[in-house]
Amino acid sequence: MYNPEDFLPLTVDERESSETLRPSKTYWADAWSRLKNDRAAMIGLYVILAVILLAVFGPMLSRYEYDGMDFNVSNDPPSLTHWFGCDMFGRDLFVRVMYGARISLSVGFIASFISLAIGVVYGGISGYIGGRLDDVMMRIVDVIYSVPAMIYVILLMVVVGAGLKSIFITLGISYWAPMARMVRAEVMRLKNEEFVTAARVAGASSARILFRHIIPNAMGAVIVTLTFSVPGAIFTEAFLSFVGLGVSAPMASWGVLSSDAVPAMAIYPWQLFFPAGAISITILAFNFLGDGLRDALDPKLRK
Amino acid sequence: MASYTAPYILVVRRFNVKILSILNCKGWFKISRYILRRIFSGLITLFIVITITFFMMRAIPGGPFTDEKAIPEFVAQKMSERYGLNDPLYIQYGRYLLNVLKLDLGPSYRYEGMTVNELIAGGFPVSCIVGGMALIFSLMAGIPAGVISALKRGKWQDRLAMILATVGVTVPSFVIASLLVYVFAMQLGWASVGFWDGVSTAFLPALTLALYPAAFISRLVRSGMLEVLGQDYIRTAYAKGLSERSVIYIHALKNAVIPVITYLGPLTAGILTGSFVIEQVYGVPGLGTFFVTSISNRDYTTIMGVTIFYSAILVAFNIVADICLSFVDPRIKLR
Amino acid sequence: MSEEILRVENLHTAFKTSAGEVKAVDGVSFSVNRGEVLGIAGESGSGKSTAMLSVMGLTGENSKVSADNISFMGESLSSENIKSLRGGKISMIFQDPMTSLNPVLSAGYQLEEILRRHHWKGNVRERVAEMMTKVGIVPAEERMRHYPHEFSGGQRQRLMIAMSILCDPELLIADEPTTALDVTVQAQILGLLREIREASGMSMILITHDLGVIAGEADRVIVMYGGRIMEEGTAQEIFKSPMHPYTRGLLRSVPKPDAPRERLIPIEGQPPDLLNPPEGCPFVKRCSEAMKICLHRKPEESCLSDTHRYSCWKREKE
Repeated sequence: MYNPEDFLPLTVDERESSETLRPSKTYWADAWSRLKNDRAAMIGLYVILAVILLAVFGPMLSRYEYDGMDFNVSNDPPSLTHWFGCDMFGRDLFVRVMYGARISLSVGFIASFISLAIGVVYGGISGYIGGRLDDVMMRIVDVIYSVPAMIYVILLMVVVGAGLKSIFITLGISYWAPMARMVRAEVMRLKNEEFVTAARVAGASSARILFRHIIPNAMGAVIVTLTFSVPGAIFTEAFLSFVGLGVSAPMASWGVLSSDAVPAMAIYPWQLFFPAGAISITILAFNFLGDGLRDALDPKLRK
Repeated sequence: MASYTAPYILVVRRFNVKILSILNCKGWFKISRYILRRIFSGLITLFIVITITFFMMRAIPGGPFTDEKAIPEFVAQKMSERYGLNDPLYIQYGRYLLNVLKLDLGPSYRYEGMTVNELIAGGFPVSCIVGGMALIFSLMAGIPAGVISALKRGKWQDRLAMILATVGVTVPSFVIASLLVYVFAMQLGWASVGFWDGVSTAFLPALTLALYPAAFISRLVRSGMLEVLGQDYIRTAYAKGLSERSVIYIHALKNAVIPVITYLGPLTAGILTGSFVIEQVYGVPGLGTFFVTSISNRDYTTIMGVTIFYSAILVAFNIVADICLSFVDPRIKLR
Repeated sequence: MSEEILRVENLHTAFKTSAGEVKAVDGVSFSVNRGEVLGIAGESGSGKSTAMLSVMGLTGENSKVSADNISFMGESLSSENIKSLRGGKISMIFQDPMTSLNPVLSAGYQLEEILRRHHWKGNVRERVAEMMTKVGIVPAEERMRHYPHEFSGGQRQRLMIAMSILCDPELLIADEPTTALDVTVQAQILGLLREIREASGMSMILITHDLGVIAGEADRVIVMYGGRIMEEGTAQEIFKSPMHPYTRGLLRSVPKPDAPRERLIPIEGQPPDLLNPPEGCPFVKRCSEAMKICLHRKPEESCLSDTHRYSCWKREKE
């Protein structure tokens, strides 16, 4: 039943071959591989890429101009010539939705990046220096939190006047507070880590420690916040359009297009359907991607 | 909770009859001291808000009456004089601040003979009904939906709730509002839109207004529940032999609603601002409608007054939310 | 003295994960007698906690538990009737008292609900106060109103112990009860557990990786590794004449205060990956005496005495 050879000691090779080791990965590679396995997040990512491509190249697919009026086709339903139908001035809705994508996406991204820049610097300094300065800086954030952001935005818009540039600026300087809070929390967590001490011992300046050592390590959380603030800005812009503070004609964002279509919704539903659908799909995609990124970048779930 | 003051401690006990009796005079004293402190810091916040709003409104190029072509030059002059707009800025500011202290938000520039106070008094009760109903709807729908989808994770109940929640946060409210108007008012004729008749006409607007917060709350509760259910103390609760029901509804839910309470402040803000759009679509004569009209009318005193009023409400709700939080979560100390 | 309280035969527990099935417990059998302390030793990941959670029916939804027989006081346990015993006749305390108590419920409530659940006949509050006093949390009436964050780590473990003895259990399963505590507090907690045991005559299963604790408390010892029992015996047998290379390795890796100073010898390597459990003996990779057969065939159990058994191919030669 037993072979005497079975009872010979194991050689080094035999011992090694029985080792099972899983390959180790870097943080970002690991996050990416986890994101790739998240179907919803990947669909979100592809949809966002597609929307960006359409915003850039979409208008070239059509022979119409976004402001070209033709009263012969006023309020025409979708057809082979006008894929998304026409609005009350006979403007082609397909082109207008594609242009709307440009405007809505640039509002989303530019406003988010402005708020990102302010938030990271503000939160970084507040969290890194701490003490009294932190108290004062966070008090200011508290005050900002106690005014409904939308009211703040509306007030600013009333002051600077409607228009695309004012929207960038207004949203940018209105929505940095959550980013600042988040960055501050991350910085406070990271500043006591050993790699920061190591950098300090090596003689790095405070600014260098903060922006080269700490902030890059907080990037995961920053990216996640960013994926949620882009759709937030798109949403806010749509809201402003509805209140009459959006971009001015003949330019049109998705928000302007859909709020223009609301009064006649029962008669010309396609005028609402396409821009509203575009907003919803894009925001949905960002939400999926954001959820996926949060799971993928969450160090708590790492094994 | 945002508080950076002295390391001075008192814990408010659980909301429980047994334990309320323990809340002796000293306890109440400390709570009221906390509330006073919060009101004081709220007033400072409001002071900053008033100041910023005032100077922002004054920074708009041209006076409030210059863009109005229908008004002849001398009339505009007269009106400016009447509203004291020719005085130096600091006097105007001082006067405004004093008036706000006396709870007088000044006259409206556009509604002749109306004060901002009267406008708010007219619009706010209506907004209150809609907003209050929306608040209740969103909690009533959001919390159970979140609990169910956490307990049935990955099953159809979870998927359904999360699809609805996703729709709630991705479709702009005015689109949903118009769809609901189209379906329920124009097609089915179940609801009437365009006039205000108290609670019965508030139903549909409140429902629409509740959609976004309900979706948000259900996601909050779901992730809260999932996190809590993985905690050691849940295993302890099972090890103690407790039934599934008491583990879930007492041990888990109480921890999982904590983020909902912290969300109460932003929730109120969301309902306030959400009402701008919803009230317009449904033709509800609430404060939101007045605010939006005053924006397009460039009615600066009304804009300022309503902004200050909204901020005051939000400040108040944040205080209430923090007090609620300290009742549910004993680790939170009122400082 | 030799009345059997708990008997477990051929227990298997597996967890379903996205990466496959993890066999955390793989064919474990043991029994506990009335009034005795059974120590279960092993590294983290050896399956010692999982085995006990399986007996309690606390392994969660993504687990699969099977056994030829689990019986408690002569009665066969199922996933249903364990529920009424948990917290009553069998109770359990956990490693980390910081996270094992619900932060939003008062200490008193968390104790009282056990008594209510198990239909305590007497006055619930009095009983809670009595037990809190017994574990040294005084004044009990006042401390009942406090919340977990107002207690120190040692006090929280005392609370956990008070919870576990509320209904006069026959068996207490203590899962690393002192691991998260300071050394001085450890001794107090172990002393408290001993006192309670001596007064009530309950049995205890003490799970720990700390051989010092096992040596001080246990009557019998089980050594687990890779989800299997490597060696079982009385404390005397395990510490004086360990048979399994793993047990010997463990004993060599802890200092002995009374022995002349000697080098500690760590066991090299990592515990096996239970996603792809080794075909043969789980310890083969790290065993200094491993043979070819250990790679492919699971060793059979050999008995040295009524109480002492171990699983290793090495016996064939000795």
